[in-house]
Amino acid sequence: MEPFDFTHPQRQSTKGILVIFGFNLYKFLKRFFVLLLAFGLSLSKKNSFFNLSQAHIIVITIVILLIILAVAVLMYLNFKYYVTKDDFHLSRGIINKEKTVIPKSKIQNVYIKQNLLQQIINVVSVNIETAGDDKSEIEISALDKNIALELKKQLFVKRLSETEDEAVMTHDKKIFFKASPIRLLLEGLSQNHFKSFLIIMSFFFGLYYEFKEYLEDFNIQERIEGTVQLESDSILNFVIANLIVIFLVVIISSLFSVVKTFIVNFDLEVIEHQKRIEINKGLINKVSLSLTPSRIQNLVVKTNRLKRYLGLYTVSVKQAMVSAKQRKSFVIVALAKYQVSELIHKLVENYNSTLRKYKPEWYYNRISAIEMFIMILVFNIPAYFVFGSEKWWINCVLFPIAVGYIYLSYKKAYYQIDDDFVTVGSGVIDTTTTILEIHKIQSVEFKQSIFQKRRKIASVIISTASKDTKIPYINESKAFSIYNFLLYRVETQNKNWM
Amino acid sequence: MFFGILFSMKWFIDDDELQQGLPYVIQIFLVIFVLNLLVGILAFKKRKYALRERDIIYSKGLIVNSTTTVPIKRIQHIEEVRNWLSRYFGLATLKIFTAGESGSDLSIQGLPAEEARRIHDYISEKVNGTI
Repeated sequence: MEPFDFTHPQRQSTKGILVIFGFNLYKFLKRFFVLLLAFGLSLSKKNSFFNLSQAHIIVITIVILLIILAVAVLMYLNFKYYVTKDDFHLSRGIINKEKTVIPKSKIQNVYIKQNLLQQIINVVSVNIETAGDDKSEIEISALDKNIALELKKQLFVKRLSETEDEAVMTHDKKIFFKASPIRLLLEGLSQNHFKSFLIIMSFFFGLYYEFKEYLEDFNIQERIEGTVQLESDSILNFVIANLIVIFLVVIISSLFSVVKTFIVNFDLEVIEHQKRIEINKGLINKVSLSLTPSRIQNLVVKTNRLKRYLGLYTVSVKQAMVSAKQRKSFVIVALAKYQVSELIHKLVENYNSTLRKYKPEWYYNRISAIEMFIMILVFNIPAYFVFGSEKWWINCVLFPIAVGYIYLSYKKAYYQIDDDFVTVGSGVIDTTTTILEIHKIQSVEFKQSIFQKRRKIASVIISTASKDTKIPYINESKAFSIYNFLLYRVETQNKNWM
Repeated sequence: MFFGILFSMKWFIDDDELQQGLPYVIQIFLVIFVLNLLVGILAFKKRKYALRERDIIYSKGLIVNSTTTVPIKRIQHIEEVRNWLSRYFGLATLKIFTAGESGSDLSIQGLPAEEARRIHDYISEKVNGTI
């Protein structure tokens, strides 16, 4: 790869016009989706809209497209970036000119992404992210791949070269982990299907309400009711019909999970550089991002019973103030157990997972029990009004679930503390382990309600720059000593949190 | 959850019912207002702050009492807010921001103005000193 000169202001790849055009068109369609929908519907019904002929409509469409294209060209022409020794400079904007300067030392992350359109015309987008809010984030939407890689290297290398030898940095890299399709398939199958089910359901209900009137024309409601009537003649038929419905729901939900897992995590790779970890993944949206250990705030390891049996663990890496949309990209799925501990050792030094595990107080169960009681009430009260007292048997199902919830959540709750790390375990169906480094703590909170005060129980809430972690319901004096210990460690160490 | 409640409200409550129920709604709001005032007065005793060499502590809450400590080293910036009401009473609100989520930010309300100024200066000096 020949070295590329970034010191002069330059534009994106010419293909950028196409990408910006695509983005703008998409934005436009999204914003006026409802309007266009109404427009389309009335068009299909009456063959005209506001007395406009078909020719007019075509002309209007072309004009709109031309305007979007012109905007795209102008955006492209006004978008210039360059890199100096310490800073990244960017100027953009058609009417409101905007100049941004980011010091290299403040760059948190550089991603390389590729969506479907970008894959077709073979360019990538580069996202430069700082620890600030979403607005300070920068996206260069179309660069040739090797230029993008070179830019990324320039942005990172200069900063690290103060401490490291540059040559070593660039050459020493090895693939640490690569997810095979089989593991991804298993990962998809063992996911929480309930979540997928809810997503599908809400999607369909949303569609249904959007098109309610349109659908009523087809009398679908009556047709469905007709078929249900036919099949619910006998109890056996009724049971079979319900089983078929459940079966279909399970199949569709798991299919959805599998497809989603595949699309998001296709070709998942974890590459290890000298000091950084790089993650590549994605089918439609290809993402490539690097993690610098000093910026990591929390590590969350997740698995569930089925996944543990299959040897599948998920590690999410939380960095400071990354917006919710991007947080997903930090998830590394389908790791084996030994890989998890290796990865943790790579990301945080001297982590010791064999410490004694402390449990919360028995009071924890009382809180879970109250939660469950409220849940059962929430189920029961509307059910009583809708079905009357006939369907009380639903509590026979709910009660064991509640007991299981209480038992599991207590069983999985624990915490570990040593000089540098806090580890908190939680979860009900999932088993979640949260790891945080003590010197990255932002603030510590000691929390106690008046009911807990009588029983000498309290919680400690630890905030880092990306997540709040709670050590729930432990003995008051213990909580107090943890609280003091954490503050002592943070205040006496001179380590930076980022 | 929130959408669920909104949705069910839209489902069950007609416009007419809302018209008729308006006095009740006002009454409910009044009761909430009085309760809020009561709790506010009672909880006032529980609001405490402390400034130590390396951290600042704020404690609040009547039923759920929480004590939050922010090490001065971790403070990103600090704000002194005075609206017209607090200017009239000579009070100030001190807001202390960290890089953490909003939950880890402190906001000490109703400080005497000069006390707020003093803390503000002390912390700013400390924060600038460490960088």
